[in-house]
Amino acid sequence: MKSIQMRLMVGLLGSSLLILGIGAAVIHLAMRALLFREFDATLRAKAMALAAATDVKNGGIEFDLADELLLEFSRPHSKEYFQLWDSNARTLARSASLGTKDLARLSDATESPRFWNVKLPDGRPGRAVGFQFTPEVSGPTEQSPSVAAPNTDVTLVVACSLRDVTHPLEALSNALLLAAAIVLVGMIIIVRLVVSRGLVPLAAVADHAAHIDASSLGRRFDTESLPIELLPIGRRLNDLLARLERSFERERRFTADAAHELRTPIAELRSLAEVALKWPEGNETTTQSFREVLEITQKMESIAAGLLTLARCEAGKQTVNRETIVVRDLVNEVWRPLAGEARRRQLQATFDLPADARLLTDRGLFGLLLANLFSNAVEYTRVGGEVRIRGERHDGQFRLSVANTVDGFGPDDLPHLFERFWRKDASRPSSEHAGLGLALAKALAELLGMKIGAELVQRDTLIFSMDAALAG
Amino acid sequence: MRILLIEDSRHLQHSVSTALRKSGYAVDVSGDGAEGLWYADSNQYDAIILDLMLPGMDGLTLLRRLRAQGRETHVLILTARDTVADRVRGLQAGADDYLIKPFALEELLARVQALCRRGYGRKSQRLRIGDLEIDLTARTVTRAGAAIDLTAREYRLLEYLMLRRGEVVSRSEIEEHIYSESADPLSNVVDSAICTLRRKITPHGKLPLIATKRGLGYVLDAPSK
Repeated sequence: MKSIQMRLMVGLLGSSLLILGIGAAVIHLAMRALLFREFDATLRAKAMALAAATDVKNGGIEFDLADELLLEFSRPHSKEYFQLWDSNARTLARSASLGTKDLARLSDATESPRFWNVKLPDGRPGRAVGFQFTPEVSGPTEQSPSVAAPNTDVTLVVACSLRDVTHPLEALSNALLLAAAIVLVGMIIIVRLVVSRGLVPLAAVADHAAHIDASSLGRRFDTESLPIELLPIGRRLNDLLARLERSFERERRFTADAAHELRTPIAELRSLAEVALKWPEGNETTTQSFREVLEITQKMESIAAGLLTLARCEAGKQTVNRETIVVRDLVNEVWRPLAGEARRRQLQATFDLPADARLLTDRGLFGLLLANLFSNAVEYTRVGGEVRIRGERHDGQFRLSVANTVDGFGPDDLPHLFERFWRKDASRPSSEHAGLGLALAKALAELLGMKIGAELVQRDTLIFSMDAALAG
Repeated sequence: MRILLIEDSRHLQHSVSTALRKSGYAVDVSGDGAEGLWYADSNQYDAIILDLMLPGMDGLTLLRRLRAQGRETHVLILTARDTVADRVRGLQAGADDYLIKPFALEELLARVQALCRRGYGRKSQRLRIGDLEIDLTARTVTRAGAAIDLTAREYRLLEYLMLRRGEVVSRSEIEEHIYSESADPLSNVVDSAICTLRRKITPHGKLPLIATKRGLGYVLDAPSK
């Protein structure tokens, strides 16, 4: 069964039906027992009265009964019967209502009365009581040897129709059935109402979930208003939505950034090709055009590679292979290709690094991080400015800092430094730099478990610093 | 027609300025916002092609300053920023046209041409003076139905004079609109160019259309009877 509402309803109705049935059965049985007890008491009283009124007189049996009691037995169609036997199973007397028929004789009767159900001579169910007793002898006993041994015990069985019991029991059963039917109908209505009321928060959650799609991932389930049972689901869904939103946002940013950043080089390539086709020139110009094509494609390649590495870092898909590296060696290795440009811009570069500081990190990724920081410093330092690369040890930590002098950079720009494609336009020397370097450096630092930060000191010196745990 | 290209990508500087020069425009190029504003302020351009992301000063600031100084030069923004908000911002800052990178060179040239023409209040593709007719799109010149073969620069000179028909056009105005920065202002390039043009558009037996106003400049007009 798929529907919770249906399941709850069937369960609740089934169990209440069971309880109702058991209750009705208990009431019925108790009532029955009570009715039988009273019936038996009446039957016994009747039998006792009959026994007490039984006299052996003149060798025969006589009943010294009040007329009205005997009358019950004497009418041919009465519902009450008795029969009296002597110890030899000879019938001494029977009620007029029996006619010529017999009641079942109790062969092992004792003095204490026994009750049992019988089928009455008219075929209806009845109840009988039977016991043995010694009738009183009155009158001249000696002359009456013929009929019975006057002092022997006789067995009396009195039977009576069960109508007085079965009728009220039937009425009770009907009343109970009717009550059960009414209660059941009431239950169906109430249970349905309560269950659907109770499931309202679930329906609300489902409705809320149905309205969430890729464009509305910012929506959340209101955990304040959720019932306790749905709280874990709501929280889980909110976590899931947050993760989805982050990854969607990452994808969106990646495609938007990629599209935007690639527009300029594509425009360059296209116009270059169009000019070359429209106004074909001699060999020298063609060679120059191809040189430009190569430069542009190299730039596009580095943008694409940067974006992909960034996307991989942010998505946690970049693998890290840690090894022990000597910081100073790696710094020198990364600086070497940048030294030419630094000379061209007349930068004064100073290195102050301990010779034996080692880090346990990924050589390639850490190298890429340093390359981005260094090339940023080389490109943005004012001509003739200074680049200082320092390493310091303290408390098992290693801090590497890159300081360079900058122009037109204010404290307001600091928070934007690590944003991708952010450029401080006024200080940007050329369009050759895609503006991805620092964003990539930050992503790489986070991936490698390092802390990276930037601060501006003395208004014109920008310091990038990285903290990492020293190896060994 | 003289165009100022303010664009920091040197590849685009190269290809766009080549395309414009080959189409007969005089082109000045700047790769820096502040320098570009100085150019725009100190010369008479028929149109400016402006990138938005620029070192020195961003394109929108440049445009606002230019407009604030009362310069009405037509400006086409050429940028990679493609959102509607960007375009609206650009047009509100005073741009006349907006083209998104990457672009088709033909479209850029057509838009630049339209902007230049608009500067002289002309919308028609054909200009006529007497029996001289020039087609601005096809860049063809005919006199009394006979085609006249002109170089790109001669054509630009004729087109400029025709757009300003009936007005006295000074030598320096011609220099500014037809020749790039590289032209030597002391040379008599304008005089010799006018001379060549006059000869080409005046076939035997026809009346001359370009008149010299001594000390003032030149006038192109229908021959007076």
